[in-house]
Amino acid sequence: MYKQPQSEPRKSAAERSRQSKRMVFRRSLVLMAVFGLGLFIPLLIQLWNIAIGNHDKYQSMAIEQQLMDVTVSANRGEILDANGEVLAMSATVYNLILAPKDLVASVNENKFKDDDGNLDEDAYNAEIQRKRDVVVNGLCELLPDLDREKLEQRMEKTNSQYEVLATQIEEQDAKAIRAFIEENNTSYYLYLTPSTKRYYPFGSLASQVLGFVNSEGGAYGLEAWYEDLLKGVPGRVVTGKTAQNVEMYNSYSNYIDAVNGYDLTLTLDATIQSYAQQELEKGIEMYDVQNGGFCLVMDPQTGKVLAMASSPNFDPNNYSVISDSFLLEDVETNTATIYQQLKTENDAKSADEQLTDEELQEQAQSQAKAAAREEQWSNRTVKETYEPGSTFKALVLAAALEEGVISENDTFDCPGYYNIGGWTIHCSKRSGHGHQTLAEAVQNSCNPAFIQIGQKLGAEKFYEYFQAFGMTQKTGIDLPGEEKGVNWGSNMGIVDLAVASFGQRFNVTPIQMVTGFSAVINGGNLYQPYVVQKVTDSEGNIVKENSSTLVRQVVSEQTSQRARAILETVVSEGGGSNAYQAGYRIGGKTGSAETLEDGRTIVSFMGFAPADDPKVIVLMAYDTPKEASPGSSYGTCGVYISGGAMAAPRAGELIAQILDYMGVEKQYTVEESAATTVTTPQVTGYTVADAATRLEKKNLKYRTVGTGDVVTSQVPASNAAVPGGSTVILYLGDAAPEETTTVPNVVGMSYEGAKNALEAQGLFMQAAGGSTFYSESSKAQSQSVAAGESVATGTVVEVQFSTPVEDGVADFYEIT
Amino acid sequence: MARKPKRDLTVEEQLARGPMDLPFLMLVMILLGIGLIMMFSASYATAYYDNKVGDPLYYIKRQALFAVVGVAVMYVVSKINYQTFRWMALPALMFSIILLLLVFTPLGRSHNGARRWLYLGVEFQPSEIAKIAVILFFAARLCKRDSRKPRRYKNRTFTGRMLNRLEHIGFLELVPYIAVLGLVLALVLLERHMSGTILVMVGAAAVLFAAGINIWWFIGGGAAAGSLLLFIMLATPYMNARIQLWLDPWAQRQGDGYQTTQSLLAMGSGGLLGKGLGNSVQKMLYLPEPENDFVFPIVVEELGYIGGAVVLILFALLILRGYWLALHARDKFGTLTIVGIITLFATQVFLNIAVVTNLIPNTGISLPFFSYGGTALMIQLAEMGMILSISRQIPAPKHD
Repeated sequence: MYKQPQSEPRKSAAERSRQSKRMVFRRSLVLMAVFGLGLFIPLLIQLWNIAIGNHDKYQSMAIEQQLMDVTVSANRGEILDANGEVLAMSATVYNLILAPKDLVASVNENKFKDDDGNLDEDAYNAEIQRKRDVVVNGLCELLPDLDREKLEQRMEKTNSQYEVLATQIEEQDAKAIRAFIEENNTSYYLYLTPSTKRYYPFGSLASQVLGFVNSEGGAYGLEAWYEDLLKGVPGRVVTGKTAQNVEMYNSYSNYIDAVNGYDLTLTLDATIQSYAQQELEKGIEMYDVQNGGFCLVMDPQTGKVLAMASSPNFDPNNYSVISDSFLLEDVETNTATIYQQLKTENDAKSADEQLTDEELQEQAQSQAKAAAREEQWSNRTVKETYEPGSTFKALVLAAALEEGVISENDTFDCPGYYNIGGWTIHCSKRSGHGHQTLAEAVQNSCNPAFIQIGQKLGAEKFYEYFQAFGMTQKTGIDLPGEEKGVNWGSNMGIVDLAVASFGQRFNVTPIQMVTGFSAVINGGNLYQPYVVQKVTDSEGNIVKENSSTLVRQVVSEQTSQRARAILETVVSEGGGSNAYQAGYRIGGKTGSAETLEDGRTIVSFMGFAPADDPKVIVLMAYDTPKEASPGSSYGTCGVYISGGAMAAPRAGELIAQILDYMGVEKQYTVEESAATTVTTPQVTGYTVADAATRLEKKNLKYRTVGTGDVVTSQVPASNAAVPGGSTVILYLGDAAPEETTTVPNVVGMSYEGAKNALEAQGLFMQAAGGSTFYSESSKAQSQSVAAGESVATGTVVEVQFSTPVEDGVADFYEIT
Repeated sequence: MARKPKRDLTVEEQLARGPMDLPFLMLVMILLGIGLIMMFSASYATAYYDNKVGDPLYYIKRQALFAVVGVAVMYVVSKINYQTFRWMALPALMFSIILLLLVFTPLGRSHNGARRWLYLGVEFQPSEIAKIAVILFFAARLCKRDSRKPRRYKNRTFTGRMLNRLEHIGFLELVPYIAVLGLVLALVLLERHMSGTILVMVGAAAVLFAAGINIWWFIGGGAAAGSLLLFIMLATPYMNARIQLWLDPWAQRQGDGYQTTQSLLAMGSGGLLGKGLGNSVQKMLYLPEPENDFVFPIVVEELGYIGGAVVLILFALLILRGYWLALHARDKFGTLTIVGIITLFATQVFLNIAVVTNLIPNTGISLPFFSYGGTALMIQLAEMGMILSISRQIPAPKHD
């Protein structure tokens, strides 16, 4: 039964050991092959697939998450006036960003877990709330404008990483916020990002020329026209960031430098601009002007625009705000009109589409406001066309002189009207100017005379010159939105020609008119006007420099000179006398034009100075001075509504200011010296010779009383204001001035007569009046000290002169 | 103790004083050096941005210190005559089991919900010691396998016949191993240490396999383990989710797939030559734990495919040299010990790289010599020391 389970003979121990060793060897060899080689092959293949096969894909994915691509905004270029005064600049402001999600994440959950990983939610939430309160309280204190409730609501947006809490934070506030962030260590979820803001240091100065910048870049004006140059090229900083959105410590940055915008240096002069704006506003106020106005100042020799003002005006720092009182009135009336219109439309709609009254009112107001904004942003000197009126006569004059159809010796008869083509065209002076020379015809702005000149030229020639003076084309000024006038084209009829001869029934822009007029007076050259003198990069290297561009020579140098001479007499003797400024030779031409719009008149004056070598040309225009009563020729201000009465004095004053500023020396004629007030110097104690020099400097004469070398007393005393050219009495030795003297009656006397009568009594005359040009017909109207009164010797008596108003500036014609 | 002069040495002692295997030593030192440099580079950013650490040199300082100590330990261990490991194997096993048990006392420490650390002055994982103890125990016992007489039982009784049958198919021989391995595995599993379990199993299996245990046991065991694994994968939602994650980590890029996808991006952006040493961007807090399990992606990102392949090849060379030493070892005990240690080592390398390259689902095994972890590094170096000790007794090749 029992069987030994020995199927094979037992091997010897040595044999088994050998066998076992071989087995171990073989098995180890297998393991060696598997673990030493086999396992590494799939690893190397897999690694190849990842690192080489999918390199591009994974790399781009990695880069996408690793890079912080920050746009570096380029600084917008500055706009400077001709003297380097900054008119527009950009400064860094900041946006305040909150990341509510990151605030929550900044509270470490693990800190509120016990050993078993259970979260103490109350403590955890309390910590989050604490951090929120720190931020809310801190910010509300730093930025009082912040709405606490809204801020708390935004804190709750725990999915958001980008809540813009405040924009346009200026450096001062930003500094405080930065300190707060640092102090409370909140930079992980509360931070500032830089942004830029455009500043216009001079506020509304040249606002329409400059335009403004809105969120999309330059809008309006130079900001828009030179947008590409000003804005620069934004740069990029590409840096490595960590997973926590922080720049890496060993960040390999790739900077693409931002190219800052170029700076613009304008031909505009801030000082002249401010003079122009002041005079414009002054006139608008004085003459109760309803529709604003415009003023253009240019260098006629080059086409450089020195000032460009439009009213209504605005402040580009707050470009949406309407501040002009007339505009605000307009908004109100327009709102009412639009509202009525909307209401009618609304009522026609079905009930469910109808808007409430409030919504309509709102809509109406926003529409009216939008229109008003457009108006205040508009640069009228290039965008708006107007009838130039009589100012255009200067161009007709130059064309006729050039063509030789008239000369200074020609005379013209004016019966007060002119019949042509079945029309009767009236002169502004219904009674007629009678027999007049060419110069007088220009001075009188006589329409019949100019109709005759126009006829002599002929329609063809007239239109040729019309074109040559640039009246049919845009000037090409470097400002956006330039318009050009509307006219009859080349087939103008005989009446068209007649009316055009005194500048009516066609339109031009102010800038067209100024460049055309400049060609008349500057030697005959039509220049392209420009506003930007040069473009420089941020290092000051000149990128582009503009120079004056001659379009064409329209008339000859001689013709121009002749026209200038005649135009000077308009101011010195004619209808432009109100523009007269002592010491400056001003030439010019008045103009006023009724428009087709009822009751709308644009009164203007085109002046230039000095007349012999024009350095500046000024166009001053007022749109619709309020009439005292409908149809009245006088304004509510009591001034005759005409370019001569309204625009000329303002333009004259402006020219004087500009020439003063430019340092153009005054050249006084004898009469002018008298009209100019000077202050007497201190000469008592000086020798007669020294005293004489000092007085001469002030344009004063002297006579001595008594004997001796040294002046012991003087009349008038030092620092008294006396008319220039007056005689100062110097007392020598023991001679003493008489204490008092009696004032003579000078009312009704002429200028010279009154002056002599007063000086005989040891008194001085100060002439006053709207104009300082005193013709033979000027008569003293009143005196400041009544006749017969006894006053101290040397007293200055103010005498009011008046020149009878000879208007002859407003042109209109009637159909009979 | 004074050093005995050479003439007084026994043959055994003389053999133990033989030269270390230099190629193996060189490979260990090269890998350790590269590992330290790369761990430094990978950990720099993590340490830099960690407010609690603050010092960018935090990790490398500790790691370097442990490396120095570890090299010393390696040398000392290599000086030990490895024959003493034979009798030390059983006490070592007992000791490691005690340590594993101690984890469940207040001396244990848990991190991330797993209680597998023990604090005895320093913090370490007892499973690290258990791995080598099991290998030593198995090697010491299995090397005497050939001299083991088959047990005989009386055929008359049923149990006797059964036992004889079991003995015949080689099962009885396996019982002590299964018992020891089962105990250790149970303890490690209780610590929720999946990767540790795998490694203990692989080390033990390698020794058993090399010792000549019937191949069918492995095939059978492998099939059983495989089907169990398959069952777990399909049946448990947790494992199922992990498999899904493994198949398409991009679907959960911001979620559970974050680490894997970031690892792929790191290696992918390395390309052929890499971004240059120290220039990794993925270590900037993108890739979690770049100093630990995911140090290799940083190696590839900085040194490229070439760099990564060189590291892999160095590992392969080390492993091959290890097996070469095993094949040439003086006795079966040496062979089996090296096979166990080297297979364990190779498995760790493989599993780590396979995880970071998403070849297999995430298991959480660190890369020897590269990953941060002081005690682990020291134990690894001590193991290398044991291999070196065995290499000393390889007889010099005979010259004709």
